[in-house]
Amino acid sequence: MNSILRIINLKKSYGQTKVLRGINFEISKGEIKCIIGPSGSGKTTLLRCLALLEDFDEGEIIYHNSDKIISSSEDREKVKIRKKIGIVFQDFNLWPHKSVLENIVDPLVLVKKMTKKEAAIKAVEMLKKVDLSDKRDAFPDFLSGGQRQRVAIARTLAMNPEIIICDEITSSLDPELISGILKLLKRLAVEERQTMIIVTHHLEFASEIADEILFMDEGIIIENGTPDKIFRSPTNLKTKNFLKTLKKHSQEINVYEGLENFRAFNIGFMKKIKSSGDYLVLGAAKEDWWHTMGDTQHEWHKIRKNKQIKLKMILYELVESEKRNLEMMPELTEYRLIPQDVEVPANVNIYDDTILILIFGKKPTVIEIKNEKLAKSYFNYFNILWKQGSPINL
Amino acid sequence: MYQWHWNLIWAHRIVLLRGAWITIELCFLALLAGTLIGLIFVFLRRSKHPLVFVPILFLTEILRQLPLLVVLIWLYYVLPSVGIIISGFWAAFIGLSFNLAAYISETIRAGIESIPKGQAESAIALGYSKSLLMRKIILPQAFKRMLPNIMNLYINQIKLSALASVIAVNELLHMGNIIISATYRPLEVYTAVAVMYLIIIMPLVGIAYFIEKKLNLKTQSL
Repeated sequence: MNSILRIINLKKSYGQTKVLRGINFEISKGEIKCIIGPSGSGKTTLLRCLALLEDFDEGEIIYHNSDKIISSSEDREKVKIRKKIGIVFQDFNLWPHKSVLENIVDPLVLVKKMTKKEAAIKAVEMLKKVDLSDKRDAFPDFLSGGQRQRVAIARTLAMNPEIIICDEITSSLDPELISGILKLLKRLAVEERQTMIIVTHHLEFASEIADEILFMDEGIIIENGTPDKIFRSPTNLKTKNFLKTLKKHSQEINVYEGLENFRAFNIGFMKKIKSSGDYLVLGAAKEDWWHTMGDTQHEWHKIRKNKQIKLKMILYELVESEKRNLEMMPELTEYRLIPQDVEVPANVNIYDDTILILIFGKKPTVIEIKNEKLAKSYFNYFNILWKQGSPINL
Repeated sequence: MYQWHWNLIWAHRIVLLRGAWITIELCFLALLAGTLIGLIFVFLRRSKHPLVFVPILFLTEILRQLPLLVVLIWLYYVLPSVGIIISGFWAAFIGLSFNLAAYISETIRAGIESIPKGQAESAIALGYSKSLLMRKIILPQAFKRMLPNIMNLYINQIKLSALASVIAVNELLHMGNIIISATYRPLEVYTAVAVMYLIIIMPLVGIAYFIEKKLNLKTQSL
C-alpha cells in the first residue's frame, strides 16, 4: 500500500492527563480522513503532533515508510519532514506585517529557495485558486475571516505539501463564510485528490468528503470506517451517543451548519408562526445576521402577506451602542436594552460572540445560539418575563 | 529682592560646556553598551538551559530592584577594595550601562513575547528555521512595538546620568557644583545646568515623538 503517513501507538500526556492514549492509523496518497469527536477528545493535539508542532511521549510517526520520527528525534529531522506537511489553523495565523502576496511568497523564497519571480507567479496562481486574486496587495487585518482563511489555505497549498492537515478551520468564521471554505476544501478533494486529514464538526461535510471517518474520544480512536458505516450504523455505544446528542442539539438548538441550513431552518420556523398574536423577539443578534438572512427576508414578507400576520419584532441588546442594528433591520418594530441584572458569563464578548434569537410563539423558544451559557442566561430572563404576563408588557 | 548675576555663567561657560560634553560622552557610551548588553541578556534569558537563564534572570532582577545611586556608589567604593581600581567615569559607565541593559532586555523580551504564538507556529509549520522565524516574522513586528519604549528608556538614562556627580565624575551637574563652591551662586548655576540638560534631552524627545507618530501611521493595524 502506498502509505505516506503512518502513526503507530502515539501517546502524549500533559502532566497527569493522558491526552493521546495510543493512536494508530495510516493514510495513503489521495485519501481524505475526517476526525470527529467531542471537544477535549485529543483531536487537536493529535493533529499538532502530526504536524510536528508538539512533542509526543511515545510512539512513531513514519513518512513514506522510511523517515521515522520518534519522541527523541532531533529538530533537524523534524524541519525536513515539516516541509512536506501543511497545516491550516483555526485562527489562520497569517503574518499581519506582510501583505497577502508576501504571506505566500515569503515561505516559497525562504524555505523552498525559489526566486522571487517564480514565487510571485506561484502565489498569484494560488490566490486565483482560492478566489482572492483582487486582494493580493491587501494586509490581513483588512480582510474578513473567510478571506484570511483562504489566504492561509493558499499559503499552505503553495508549498506543495503531500498532506494538508486542517484543524477545525471554520470554527472562528461567521456562519455565512463557512460554506465557502468547505466548498473550497471539497474542490481540493475532488479535483486535485489532495491528501487531507480534517478535524471538523460539520458532519454533513465530513460524510461527503471523507474516505474514512475516525471517531475519537478520550485520546483514542474508538471507531473508524466509511462515512456510511459511521453515520448510519455505528457499532460503538460512545459513537452512537455522540451522534445522538449532536442530532438532539440540532433539533432543540440549531448550532448552525453553514448558511444554507441556517436559512432553511429559519424559513421553516417562520412558517410555524400562525396568528397575529405571535411575537418575534431577537436577543443580541449580531448585526450582520440580518444581512445573511437575504432571501429569508423576502420569504418573511411573503408569509406575512399571505397569512395577514401582524408580527411584532423586538430586538434586545446588552449595550446601547449596538442600537445601530435598528437601521440594519428595517423589520424591527422595537428596540430595548436588557437590564444589567441579566448575567453575562465572563468569557463572552458581547459584541462578537453572541448570536441568539428567541422566537416567542405561544411560548419562548430558543432557536439559534452561539454561546450556550449566554443563551441560558437570556432565556431565563425572558422566561421570567413571560410568566409575569403578556409579551406586550415585556 | 535677589540680584541675578547671569554674567558669572558666561564667565564659567567653558567649565559647564566641558561638563555637558562629559555627560554626552558618558551617556553615548552607556546607551550603546547598555543596548548591546541588553541584547545579550535577551538571548541568554531565552535559553532553555537553567544554568544560563537563571543567573541572567537573577542579575536583571537585582539591577532593576537596586537604586541606581546605590549601584554607582558600590561600584566606586567597593571595587577598589578588592583591587579593581576604577575611575569615577568608568564606574558610572558600568553602572549606567548594566542598569539600562536590565530594563532594555525586559522591554525587548516583552516585545518578542507580545507577538501571538500562532504566527510563530505557522512559520515553523511551513518549514522556517528558528533564526528565519526571528528575523522575518517576530523581530520586524516586535521592533515596532518596542521602539517607543526604548526611546523612553534612553531619555530616562540620560537623566539618571546626573547621579554620576556623586562619584566625582566631571559631568554637567558635578561641574555646576564646583562652580557653586567657588562662587556661592547656586540659583544661577543650577538654572543653567537645568537648561543645558533640557537642551541635551529635548532633541531626543522630539525624535521619540516623530518615531511614534510615523509607526502609528504606518501600522494602524498592529
